[in-house]
Amino acid sequence: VIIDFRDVAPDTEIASDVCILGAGAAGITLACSLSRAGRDVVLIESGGFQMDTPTQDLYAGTSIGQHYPYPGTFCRVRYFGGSTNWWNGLCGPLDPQDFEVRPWIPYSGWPIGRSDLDPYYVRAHEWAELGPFAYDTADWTTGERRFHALLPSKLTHCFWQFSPPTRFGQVYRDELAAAENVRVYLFANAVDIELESGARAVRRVHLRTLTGGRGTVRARRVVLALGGIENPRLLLSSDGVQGTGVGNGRDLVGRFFMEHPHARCAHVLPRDPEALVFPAFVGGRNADDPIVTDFYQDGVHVRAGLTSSPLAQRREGILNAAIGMRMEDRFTGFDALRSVTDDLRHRRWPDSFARNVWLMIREFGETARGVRSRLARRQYRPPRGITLFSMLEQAPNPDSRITLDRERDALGMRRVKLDWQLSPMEKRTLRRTLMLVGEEVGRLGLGRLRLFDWLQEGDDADWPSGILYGGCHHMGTTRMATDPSRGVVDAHCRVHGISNLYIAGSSVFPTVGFMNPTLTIVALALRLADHLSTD
Amino acid sequence: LRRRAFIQTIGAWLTGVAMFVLTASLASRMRFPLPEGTRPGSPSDDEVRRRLSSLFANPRSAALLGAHFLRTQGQRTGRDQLLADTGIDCTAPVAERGALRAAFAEARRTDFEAGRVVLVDGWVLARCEVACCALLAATSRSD
Repeated sequence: VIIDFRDVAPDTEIASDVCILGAGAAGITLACSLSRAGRDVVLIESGGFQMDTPTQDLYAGTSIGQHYPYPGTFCRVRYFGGSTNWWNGLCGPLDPQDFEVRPWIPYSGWPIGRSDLDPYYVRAHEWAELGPFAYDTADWTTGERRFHALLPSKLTHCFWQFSPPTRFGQVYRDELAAAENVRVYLFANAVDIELESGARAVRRVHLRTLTGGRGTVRARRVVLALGGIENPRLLLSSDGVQGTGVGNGRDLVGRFFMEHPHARCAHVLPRDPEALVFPAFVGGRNADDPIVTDFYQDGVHVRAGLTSSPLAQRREGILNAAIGMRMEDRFTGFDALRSVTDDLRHRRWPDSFARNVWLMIREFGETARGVRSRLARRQYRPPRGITLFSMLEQAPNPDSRITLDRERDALGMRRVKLDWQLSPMEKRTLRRTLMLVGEEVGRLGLGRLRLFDWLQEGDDADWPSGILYGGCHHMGTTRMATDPSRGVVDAHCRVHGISNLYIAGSSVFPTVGFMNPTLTIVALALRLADHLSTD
Repeated sequence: LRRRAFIQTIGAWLTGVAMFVLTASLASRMRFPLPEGTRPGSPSDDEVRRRLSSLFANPRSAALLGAHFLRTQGQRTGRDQLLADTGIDCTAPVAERGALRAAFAEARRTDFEAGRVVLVDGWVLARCEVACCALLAATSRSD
C-alpha cells in the first residue's frame, strides 16, 4: 500500500513490526524481502515518485577540506528509488582482501568475510538484474576473447557487470504497492529518533512533512537506510536523550567518510598507434565505445579493468585500486599550433601560449605532419592513445567526516558539513599501481606508459585542484565493527548498545575496496532481512 | 589587424621560432659528459653509438630521453655502469644487428618482469632501455 503522508491525520502514530527509513536500493530490497517473509513493514520515504526541488533541497550541505567535486546535494537523489533513479548500473562484489585485516591499512578489516556475503551477492544479482555471478578472468574468456597472462605477483583483471540499470523505485514499486503487509509513506521525513530513557532502544521515530504535517512511527525494529551522509545526519541530529547523538557515545558516527577517488592519471603510447592495444587485453570492443575494455556476452554488458593483485598490495603496502582505459585523441603539437593560430585569427591573445608553443616545439614532427596534411588538403588525424583512469580505495580516516552545520533546513534539521580528507596513501597507491601497469604493458610489448605530471612529483598528501572526481559513493560513516570502540554497528548491522536500531547501506562499510558499492549494499540488505526475519 | 594585434602576432611567432631554434640547437649540440670510470678496452663512443642507434626507430628521440635522464637522475652513473645496464653486448659486430635487437628485446622483457624500471619524465621504462638512451645521449654529437 502506498500512502501520501501529507494526507494522513495530524499526529498519527503508525505502528509496525519493522520501520525502514529511506526507499533507496537498501530500503526497497529490505522492504520487499521482509514483506515476502511475512513481516509487517512500514517504509518511509521523503520524496514522491519524481524529483521535486523543495524535497531535494533538504539534502543541501556544505563541503570543507578536500574539494568535493559534487557540492550542494552531493549528487544524491531524494525520491522513491533514491540514487538508483540515476545510477549507471556498474556492479561487482568487493574483493576478498577488502574484508580482511590488512596490517598496513589502519582500521581495516570487517567482522564478516567475503564468504559470508557470497550467497547474498548471488541473490543480489537477481535484484539488480545482472548476469551470472561471474567475476573471474576464466568466466569471460572465449575462443575470440583471450586475456593477456598477467603476472599474478603484480596485476589481475577485474570485472564489472552493468545493471540495465535497475531503477529500484520503478521495478519494485508494484510489488510494494500490492503487498498487504507493507505500507509505504511518501513525503514523510524522519527528523528525530527518540530513544527510551535508558538510551537502550528506540521508542519512536518522529516524522514531518514540508507542508507542516507531523506524526510518529512506533516499531519493534527500526532500520536506517538513508545513505552514507543522511544516516549519520539523522543519528547526530537525534540528541534528545543521548546528547552526542544516537549511537554516538564513542564519537564515531559520521567519521571515516570515504569515497572512491577517481582521476585521469596516465597515458599509454601504444607500440603501434593505429593498432588497438587494449583490445588485446580483452579481445574485442564496440567500435563506438571509448571505454576500450567493454564487451558483451550472452546479453551481459561487462567491463574489464586492471587491478593490483593481493600479493602486490601486501608487498607494496598499498590500497586496492582499479585502472580503466579510455581511447582518446591526443592533443598534439599540431593541435597546439591550430589553437594559437585560431586565437590570433580571431584577434584574441592566445590561451596557454607558452605551453602551446612548447608543445609545438617538443612535438615538431607531429606539428610538421599536421601542417603537411593541411597543405595537401587532407584531414589531419591525431595519433590515438589510451588514457588511464583510476578508481581508488580510500583508506579509513577518522578525520574524514560528516558533522552538523549550524544552518537548518526547511524542517528545522541542521544541515550537513562534509569534511572529506584523503591521506598520502591514496596517491602513493595510484602511483605504485600505475607503475605495475607500466611494467606489464612493457613486458607484454604493448607500448609504454607515462604518468601524468602531477603524479610524478609533489607531496603525496596534496592533490592538485580539479584532478579528482568521485563515484558519488558515500561510505563508512557508521562503520561495522565487533568492538563498539571501533565501530557504530555490529556484524548484524545493529547499532551498538541500542537493541532495536539497525543500519543498512554503504555507511556500514568499514573499508570500501574500489568496487562500486550498490551490489554490496543490496547483498547486505538481503543479509539483514534474513536476520530480521528470523530474529 | 590593428597595430597592437599585429605586434602581438609578430611577437608570438618570433618567440616561438626563437624557442624552437634554441631548443633544437641545444638538443643537437648538447653532450652529456659521464663521470670517470671507463675501463680500458671499453668500446669507443662511435662504436656504442652505431650499435645502439640500430636499436631504436628514432635514435634522436631516444637520445633526448637519455639526456633527460642524465640531467635529472644520471649524474652519478658512470659509462661502464650504463654499458652494464644495457644488458646487451655493445661490442657485437654491426652485422649481428638482428641478434642484438633480439637480445635487447629480451633484456627489456626481463627488466620489466623483475620490476627494474626507471621513471624518466613520467615514462615507465626498462632500466636497460634507459641505459641505452643515456649512452646515446652521451655519445651523440652533431658534427
